[in-house]
Amino acid sequence: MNKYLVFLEQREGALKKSSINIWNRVQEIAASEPGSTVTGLIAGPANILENASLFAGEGVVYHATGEDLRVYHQQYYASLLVELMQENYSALFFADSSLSRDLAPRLSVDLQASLLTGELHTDKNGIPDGCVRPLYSGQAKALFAPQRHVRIYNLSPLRGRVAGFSCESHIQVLPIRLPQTGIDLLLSEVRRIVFRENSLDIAEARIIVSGGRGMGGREGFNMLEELAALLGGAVGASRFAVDEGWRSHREQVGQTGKTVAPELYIACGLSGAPQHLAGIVSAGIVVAVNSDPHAPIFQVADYGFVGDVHLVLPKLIDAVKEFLKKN
Amino acid sequence: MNIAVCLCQVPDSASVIGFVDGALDRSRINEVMNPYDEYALEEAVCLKERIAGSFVTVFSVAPPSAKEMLRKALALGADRAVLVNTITEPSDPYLIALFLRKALIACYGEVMPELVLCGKRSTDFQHAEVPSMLGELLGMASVSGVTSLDVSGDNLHLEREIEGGTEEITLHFPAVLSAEKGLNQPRKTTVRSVMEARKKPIDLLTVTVEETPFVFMSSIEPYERKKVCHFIESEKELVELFAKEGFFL
Amino acid sequence: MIYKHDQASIQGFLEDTSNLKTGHTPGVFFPETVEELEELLKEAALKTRRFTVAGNGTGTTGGRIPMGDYVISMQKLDRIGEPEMLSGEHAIMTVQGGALLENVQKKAEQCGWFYPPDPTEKLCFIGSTIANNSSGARSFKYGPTRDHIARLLILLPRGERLDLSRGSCMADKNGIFHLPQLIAGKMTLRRPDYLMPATSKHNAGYFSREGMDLIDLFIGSEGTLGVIVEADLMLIPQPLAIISALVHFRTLNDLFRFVALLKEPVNGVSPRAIEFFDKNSLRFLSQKYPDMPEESEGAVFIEQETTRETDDLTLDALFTIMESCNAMTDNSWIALDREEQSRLREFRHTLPLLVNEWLSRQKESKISTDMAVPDERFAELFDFYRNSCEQEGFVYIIFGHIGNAHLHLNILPRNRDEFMQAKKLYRNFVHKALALGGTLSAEHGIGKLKAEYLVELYHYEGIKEMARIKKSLDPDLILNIGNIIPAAYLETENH
Repeated sequence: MNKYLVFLEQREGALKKSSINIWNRVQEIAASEPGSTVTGLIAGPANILENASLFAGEGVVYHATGEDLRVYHQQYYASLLVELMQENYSALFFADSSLSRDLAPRLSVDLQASLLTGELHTDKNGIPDGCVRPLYSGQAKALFAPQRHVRIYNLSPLRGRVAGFSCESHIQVLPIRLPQTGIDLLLSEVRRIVFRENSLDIAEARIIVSGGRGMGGREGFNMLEELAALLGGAVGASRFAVDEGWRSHREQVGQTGKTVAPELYIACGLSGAPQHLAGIVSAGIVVAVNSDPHAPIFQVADYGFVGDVHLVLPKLIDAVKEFLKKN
Repeated sequence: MNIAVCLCQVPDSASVIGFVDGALDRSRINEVMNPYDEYALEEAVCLKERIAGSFVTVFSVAPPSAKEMLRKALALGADRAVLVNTITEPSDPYLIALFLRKALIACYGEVMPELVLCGKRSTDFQHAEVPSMLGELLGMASVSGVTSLDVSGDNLHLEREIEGGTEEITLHFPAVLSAEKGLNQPRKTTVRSVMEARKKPIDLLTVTVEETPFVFMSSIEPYERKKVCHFIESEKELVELFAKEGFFL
Repeated sequence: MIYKHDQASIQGFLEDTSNLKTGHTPGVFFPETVEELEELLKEAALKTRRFTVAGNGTGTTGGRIPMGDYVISMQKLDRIGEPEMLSGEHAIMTVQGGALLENVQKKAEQCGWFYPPDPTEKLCFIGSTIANNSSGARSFKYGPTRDHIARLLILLPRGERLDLSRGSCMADKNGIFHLPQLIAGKMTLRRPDYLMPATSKHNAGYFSREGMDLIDLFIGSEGTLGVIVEADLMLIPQPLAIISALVHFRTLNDLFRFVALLKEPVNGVSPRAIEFFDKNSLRFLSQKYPDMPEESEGAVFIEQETTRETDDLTLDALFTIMESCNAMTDNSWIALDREEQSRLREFRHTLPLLVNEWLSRQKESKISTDMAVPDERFAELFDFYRNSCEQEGFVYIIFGHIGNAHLHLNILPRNRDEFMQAKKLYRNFVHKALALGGTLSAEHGIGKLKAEYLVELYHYEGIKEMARIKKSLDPDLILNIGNIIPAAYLETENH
């Protein structure tokens, strides 16, 4: 019998789909464990109704609606969670994000809880017992097992679309307040968040169109922008393209960039160094376009297209446009 | 101002990650400074150059072979290096954070450094946990993945990348910060700096901790990712494939 | 066998990096086995076909460009074997001629071994590097490709197989090889009768030396004497560590003094590479490396192998030499770990990229030299290069293997006039280098582009000697006609 707590992250008042995915995954686990409960926590004002239909299963969702929690404050968020965890939860779940990566390690120390990051691993009864994560540029993978009773899971995005697995869900939302104890000295404060205009982050994109050395320069990426826009995806880049100043670091995929988990990854004019491949271990379908048939990217690709990106991409863009017009 | 920088070693990009009898084969691994730690160190040295009277000490919980990396750190502008010796080399982030805390206390005593800088994560295990854990253990604020840092008086103005935007953060010293790529461009080691680094001390410090690890790596194995690539001849075929897989919303 | 004769498939085989534009061929064969290639050569005379053997197109002298002959592409013969250890100090790796050098080196490295030859261009076929006796930065310590070949399997022009191990067939004191088998109907062959220039690198025409090994006649013969289908490469243990550095100087005098000291083993260092960048090269590089010191007159790139034990001593010795030559130690870059070293190597490889980028905007091709002279005449040639270019007001760079007294001069013409002027000057450079006892080509080879200049080095008699060797082994004149030996020398002798 386990008590699970799921942290439901909001940004600008909207719940993150990746968090709801984790909620639903935990509901699945609880369903196979009689007597287990799933509880949620939302910090900051948020519109829950908007996404209510996406929630599966049943349980209480605590909603700390205070304005103080609208943007992420390490200390406020930490005290809220530490306070709530006094109710003897056996595990706290996060969907991996820049917030959880900042917060979870502190909670781990404070709560003396094992922090596990990666893909959830379960025992033969379907009960979580650790996390599996690629190491060494994705050349190895390891299973990490908790050594404490209380666990914090920070889970990589689950591929696929958000959907409740049962249409009958019974979520009860209870408002709570941020505890006022122990926050006399504010250590750090987020002044503001500057959002980039209409830019989809590669860490959250369903489709990523990525480019490397073969794009030949800054201008080459215009084609990728166009293709990504047509597909509703984001543009990614290899380390080379970033180091050359063609693209911003926030778009870098790989070891010194981001680990991504899109459903479709289109790699254009990038050879596929192990450091780059490390970033796409969790990608769904990988399509590679490269003029060198021996490029390592083809070894991890589902579909390959041998050809010069400067010839292939314009034709591909036209073909996509034509398809979209027809359908 | 006292600045502490925590460094670790990772396999360089040419290292071969192989397995012998189910265990990681370390013989073809060559270790270098974790690239994110280079950004942390560079930022520390830049601050030192801006703020008179600053002193940069680097710490590494690592085997004695890490001396070469520490020499490089000294050549890159650190003033002192401390090699933290442990009986067994910990891989658990919590234990590493505990060792670092003890080492900091041993070196600084009552007056802890104003700033502790780390890399965002190591490129081998990629935990990305030690900096925030250390912050909690030291009772300092921590900010992970800093891409811009500015000091004015007692205040620090930081930026960090989040999904789809940038957070602008203000905080007081002391603080633990972890560096993200983009924070700066690490300098090169010059002949002069390497010569001078050889005169700077590398101190050995042995610390012990009583605690047991939070997590345990129960298995590690090669990650076989090879797929059978299906080669496509025309752009149209590719579009049809996208449609079939449901990529058009 | 795969044979292609459509324009799209052929086109790529009509070019290399030489800018020679007159190539043409009826078609390209892609043998997939040694037997297929053997068959092709055996029927050549009967079918009156001639062949040009094609590497991967990275050559600079038009060696692979066909002038109406059929092309044999080696790309399908690309097998790489496992290194076999002979002792703790040596291993042998068997590779096919069409294996990519990059893959060969990677394979060796993954097994803990090291194949020293390292031409800057890694996308070449190993067989081509043997046929051209390629060298590169590391040749200062390790010598050219020739020094690392233990055995060759050669298909002679008539399709006969010659399996030749180093040491198995040496020229006697009269210069006669007693061949291990009948070759083109002969049991003996006399080595070429001429003296090679006394430079530390030389790659122009057939190799010849007293008591030489027959295998060395084939190495560097640019595919004119046979096709290298398989080779046993000699591997050595991978160096434990290296130090690399880019050292700047305020005067060229200091720089040359530094190089001279590096070459003296008594000074406690023995770099494997000593490379030079003149001020103009550095200016090109500063587009990408803005922290280049303004007052630098030139820089030397060095790579020195070390072990953990010798590390400190070597560094001490290096620093002492640098200081005694007034090196700009504040601005000189030294790389102590592998990651930094690969960044430094990338710096070195960036120069040709930037130069090509610049050239592509000028729409003229560069004029580049590959001459080398004996060490003691080095300064003379260097001054001659520089003064001539300054006088003409050319854009030019001088860089390369200063350890072997072998620098490349690249003239980068801004217009047609300058191009024509530079071409004229090139002839003067050849005269000068040869007059100083130098060689026409230290590493790039002769190919088709420089065959006419080779006559100036070896004179009529020397070229005739090469023609004699060529015709002994290739009496039907099947292979790589036009490479090294100007075609006229073969034809006239025939009549």
